[in-house]
Amino acid sequence: MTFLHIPWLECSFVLSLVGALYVSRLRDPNRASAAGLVFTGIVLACTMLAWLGFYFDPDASLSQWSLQTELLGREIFFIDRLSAPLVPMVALLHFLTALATARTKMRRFSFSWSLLAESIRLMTFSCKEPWILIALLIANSIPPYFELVNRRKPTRVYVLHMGLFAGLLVFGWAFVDPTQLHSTQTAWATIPVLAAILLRCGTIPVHCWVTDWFEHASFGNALLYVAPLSGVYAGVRLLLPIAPDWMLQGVGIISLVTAVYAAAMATIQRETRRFFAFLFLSHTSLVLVGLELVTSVSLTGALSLWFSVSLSLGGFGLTLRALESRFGRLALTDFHGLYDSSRALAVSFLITGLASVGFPGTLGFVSTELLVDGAVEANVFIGLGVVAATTLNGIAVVRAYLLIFTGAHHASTISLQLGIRERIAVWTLSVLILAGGIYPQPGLTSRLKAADALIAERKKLRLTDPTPAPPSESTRHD
Amino acid sequence: MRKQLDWENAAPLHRLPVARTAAPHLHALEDVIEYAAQMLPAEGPITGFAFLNPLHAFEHLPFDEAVKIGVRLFGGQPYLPEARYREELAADRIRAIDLQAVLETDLGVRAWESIVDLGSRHSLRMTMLRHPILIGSGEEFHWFMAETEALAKFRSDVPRAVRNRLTADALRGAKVENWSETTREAFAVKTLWRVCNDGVRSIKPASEIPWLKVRPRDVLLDATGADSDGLVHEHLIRFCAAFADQGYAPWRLPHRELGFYKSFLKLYRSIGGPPDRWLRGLARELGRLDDAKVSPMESIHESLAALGISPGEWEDFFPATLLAFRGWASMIRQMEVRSDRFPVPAPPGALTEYLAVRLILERFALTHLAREELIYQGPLKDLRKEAQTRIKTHAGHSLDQRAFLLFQLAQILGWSPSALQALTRQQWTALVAEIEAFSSFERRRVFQLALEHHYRVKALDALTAHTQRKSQRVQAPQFQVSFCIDAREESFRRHIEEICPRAETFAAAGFYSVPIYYRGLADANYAPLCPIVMKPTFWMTEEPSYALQESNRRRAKTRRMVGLASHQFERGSQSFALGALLSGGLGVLASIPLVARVLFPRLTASIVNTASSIFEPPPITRLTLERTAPNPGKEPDELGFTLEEMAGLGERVLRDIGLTSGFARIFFFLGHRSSCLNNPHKSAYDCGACTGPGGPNARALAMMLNDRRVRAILAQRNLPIPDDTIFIGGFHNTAVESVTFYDLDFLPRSHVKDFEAARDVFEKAADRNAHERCRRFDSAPLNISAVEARRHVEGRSEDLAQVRPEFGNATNALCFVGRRQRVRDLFMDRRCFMHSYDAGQDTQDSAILARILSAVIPVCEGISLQYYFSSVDSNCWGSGTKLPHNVTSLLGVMDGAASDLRQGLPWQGVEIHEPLRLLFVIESTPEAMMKIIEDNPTIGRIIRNAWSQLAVLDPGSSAIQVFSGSGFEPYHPESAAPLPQSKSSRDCYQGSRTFLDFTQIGADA
Repeated sequence: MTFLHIPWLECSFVLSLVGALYVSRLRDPNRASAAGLVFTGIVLACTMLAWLGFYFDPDASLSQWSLQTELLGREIFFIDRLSAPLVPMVALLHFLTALATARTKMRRFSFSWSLLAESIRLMTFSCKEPWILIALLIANSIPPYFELVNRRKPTRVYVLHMGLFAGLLVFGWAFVDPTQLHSTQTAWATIPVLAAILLRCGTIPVHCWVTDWFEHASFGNALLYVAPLSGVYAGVRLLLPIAPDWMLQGVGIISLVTAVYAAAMATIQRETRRFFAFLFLSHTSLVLVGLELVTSVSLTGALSLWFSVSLSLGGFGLTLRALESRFGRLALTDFHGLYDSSRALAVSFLITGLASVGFPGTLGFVSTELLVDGAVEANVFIGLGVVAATTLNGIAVVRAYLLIFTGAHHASTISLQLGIRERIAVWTLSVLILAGGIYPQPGLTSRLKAADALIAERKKLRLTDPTPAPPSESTRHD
Repeated sequence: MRKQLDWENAAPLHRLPVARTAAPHLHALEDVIEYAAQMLPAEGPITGFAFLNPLHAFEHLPFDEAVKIGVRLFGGQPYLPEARYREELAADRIRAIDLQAVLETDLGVRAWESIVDLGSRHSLRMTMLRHPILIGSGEEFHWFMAETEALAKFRSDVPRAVRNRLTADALRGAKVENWSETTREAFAVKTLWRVCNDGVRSIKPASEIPWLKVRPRDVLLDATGADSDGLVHEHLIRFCAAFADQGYAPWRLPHRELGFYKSFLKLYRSIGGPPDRWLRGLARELGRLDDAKVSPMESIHESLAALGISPGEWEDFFPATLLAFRGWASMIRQMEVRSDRFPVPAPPGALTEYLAVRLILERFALTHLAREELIYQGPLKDLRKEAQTRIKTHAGHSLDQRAFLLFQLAQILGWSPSALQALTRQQWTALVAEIEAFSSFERRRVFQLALEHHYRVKALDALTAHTQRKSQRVQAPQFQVSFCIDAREESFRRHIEEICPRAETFAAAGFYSVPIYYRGLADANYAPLCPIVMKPTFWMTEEPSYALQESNRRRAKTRRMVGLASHQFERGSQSFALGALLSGGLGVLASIPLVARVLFPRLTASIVNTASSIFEPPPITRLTLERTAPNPGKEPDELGFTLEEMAGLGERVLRDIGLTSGFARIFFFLGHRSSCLNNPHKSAYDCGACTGPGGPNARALAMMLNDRRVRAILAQRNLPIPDDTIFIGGFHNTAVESVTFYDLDFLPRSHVKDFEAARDVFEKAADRNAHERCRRFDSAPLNISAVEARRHVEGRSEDLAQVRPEFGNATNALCFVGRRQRVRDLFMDRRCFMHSYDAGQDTQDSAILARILSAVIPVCEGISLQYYFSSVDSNCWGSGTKLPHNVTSLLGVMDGAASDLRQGLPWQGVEIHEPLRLLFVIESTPEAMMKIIEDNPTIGRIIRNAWSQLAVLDPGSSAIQVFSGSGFEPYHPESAAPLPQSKSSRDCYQGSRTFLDFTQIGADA
């Protein structure tokens, strides 16, 4: 047994739970912040080590050291090709969000709930067992409810949507028979699952919970809830392997419409949080578009985009959060001219914002390129739709930049430059974004393998199903 | 703002007599609209950039009062940001003694009053000026307090001794043996913060009287964040651009000839396609107005009633409404009142019609937004009151922020916690009131005064020292030349005089008192060439010489064909089908000149010039100078001047500049203009006195004075001009540094050598002037040679991508009216307007000076304040950055594809400007000057209300007196030290990119 054979993944779950318990007992926000930071840092280290363990031994040879095998008899939580970079990414986002939390926001941002949510999220992203995954996804939506309650914000929209999500997911999966994929029952049962996932991803017309959530939650928790794209993960794990081609095509079209609609909405928003919410929705839908095309290129692009969107929109969100902590909620109806007051934030805004729309030299560039290639390969109109969504997102980001940072003189004489903790958070993400853009090959190789594994799994499931497949006109390339 | 119509005192600029066109019950409305229209900028089309004070409507008020109104009405800042003044303080452009002097003058006897026994008012204000006071909005402040060490450490600018004293005071009685230095300091700082907080909280808060804004749009915006102007302007931009179009649009606005209002009614009552939701019902309403023949004024009256604007609010409502879209509104106004400046003017009443349309649209936009955003469906007239109740009130300064202001000052001034704790509630009230009275606005006002004080002291000290030298006119001058008063010509004159000491230079306003409508050979329309405050009374054209008339016809025909082809090409490129075809087929070819213009600007310009010479007007032309009809006009026999008029104009200019004897063999009258590519603001670099490209006026004057018949009349008037004196007109291109001469074919052989010698001097001076200018361009190295500098400036003017072909008058700060010999050999860093004037030749009642100043003061003040305001708040008073500008209607620029017209100077034209109110130094007596101030209302307003500064230099000595508001006071130089001296101009500026001090130049140095 080597150092990497220690069950770091399980350690990260346990430590985040212990952290949540410990921090919940602290009354002083400064101490809670410090403790929260320590725990999220340790959890990040654990997930990094778990990922390294997988990297050096991808054939799951670690499982022999897993505590789960001894305690549960099988391995429920593990890292595979898909989740390998996603688990540490979730931990990184939590750590950086905790790190960048301004003292003015410490009372509003609950570190204990955040640690609890992190624990659930880490488990979610390292789980493939359908029912456990469904349970985790439902559990994942509980801390946000308490966030809203604690902040005395309306919960109706959120509860309604998440309740529907949970109900549809459980109801649908109850009737799915993975051994009879081509049966009518499974086909019908997949529809509620599909609806639940689209709802969780904020696809139109069931997207309003996302804007409502951003409106009422603390920016940090709002960001952490959506940035890892848990809904997309559910789609990949639950839907992708079993859904018939026609259904995936339908999902692709709905997602494409959402991507374009949300991007268009992002260009006309009058407030930064709603702008971010629509930007996020558009990107989530773009990832879904790539996933549902199920070609090697598009899937690789979508998985890469997933990673890049989580990082870049995570950084973008943190930048907006830093702006909000200084200036309050910013309206996008007037020019604010904040460049001179906070130049580092302006640069960070541009790097992370442009990375999210695939600007050359950033992590998002190759992913977007692959996604467009894959989409055009599948259908030229889908390709055009993806290009339109990306273009609109780019316009929205540049518009927001111009409104926030240029066009006026800001009168304040207080220095509002980034503090050291914010600087570390924002620059860490910026470095990852730029490094991924300059040297994208390792990331792409990893995502290509994950994509191939997903396609292989889908093929295997559908081939082992004895029920004859209905004739399909789809022209999938693999 | 004034509560009563102030017709008597309002600036008369372009004021129209109110023509009573409406029913009697609407007369009051007509008056108010005309009053409000006065507040609009009067700049006019961008093709003839007019330098005017943006607050010209308030010149009857003192500057400091007027700018406060400007802040409220226009939303613009009147001074630089405080941080910028502190940079000037650090760079010694403002000194502590300047601040002290200004504060003492400003406060008078109140300066040394004690403020609750903590120090004098003067020391408190000096501290607030010398130390940056940190302020920010509520969120910013809370972030700052939480994230920084503001409550753990003293400010870094608190002296060590003060820190120790404050710490000792705070720790008195506390058990601190085991505390570290850091803990002690933190304790002391927190104690001080607590005391300040408690003190501020003990004050009874001032009750704020709720104020109902006059525009429903403003109240709705405050309540909901929804802006009805956004909806209204979206349509108005398109409609105004179509209405005001001067020939740019492919289609003409339907029914334009019926005027703004009727055209709008007819177009929008039958508009097709899906309407905007907020415009539902508009067509029906317009149909009603059209069918019932409701006049614009009646429509306005209806709209006011619908919006709930009572007659008592009209005086506030109309200015606010017009200024909400002031670019287009003012352009329509100018098209109406200065129709002579527009090829396609607007009929009388256009602004009223615009207002009628605007208010109709406002009604619909407000109704829609009230329903959507406010869930209000009641009558529109009650909307303001309803929206007012929904506004979340914001206290000005929060208590924490007020305490923080006090907390900072307590640290810097060493007010100990115990001393502050001892203050009574009344004393706290007095202390806080005193501090808050010296607000950011007030601090910036004092900073501005100090900046001006600093320059004034430098300038007047220099003039005092320099004018002590013996001075006299050049004896037997080799040649004489008169330039425009423009500050750019200061250096050109200086270089000419350095190169050729026997050259004598003069200056007069560049239109040379020849106000004309002028049409050049290649021009389509007449353009006025005179100061914006004047309307020309003469018309003049350029025509080919008789022998070249056939050639000219051919060239004109070719020019027309090429012009039509390129126009059609451009139109085609904007259309859908042809545009696709042209850009696909010829787009690549179009990139060749595009790239060449950027990479090889001089070479490309040379090629283009050679090619275009094929159809350019013939080189030999003449002016239609002599009129045969009794009255001037546009008809052929009405063009030009009578001999008497020519003699009068010539005499005026010569007497104005003090040249009645000692004529050289050659005298040049030079106007000036600028040339650059792809620059909508090109005319802003032209002559401010001509409001366009100078040259034709100078040419006309030279021709007049060469006429023997005119000379005969002048001789009868005791102004004999020697027979061997030849006048040559021309112009100086201030961008490329070239001098072009007119009518050289008439130059006698006897004068050719004199001319060539003078031309060589001009050429060398142009090289040197280019070199001096280049120090301001970051793209030109400081060690550039004069020849390279000339190439550099030529390249800039032909570079398609260059946004700063030159800096125009951006360095202006001073205006000297007097004899050249008094300031000759004084390096003034291109900052001085100059007009020649010899008080010794003036009449007893200073009539010559009065007429000189009647043009010079408004023109120079207009230029100075246009630069001033455009640089202190570029977005409000200026046109912001050039980068998003697009030309529209051939009238002005918009930001992007749709915005209000951007007026004022662009940021790239003013970025090196140091905003100072112009200092006039007139070589005259206080008595003469006071009489002019009394007699001329415009000058009186400008000087008395401190829109400019004024000093007089005694014609017989170096004594200076400064105008102080009511009269003149002797000026005592601050420094008795001699002026710095240099051998040449180059030694003065070499190696520097910033403003330079006055320096004496010459062999004595």
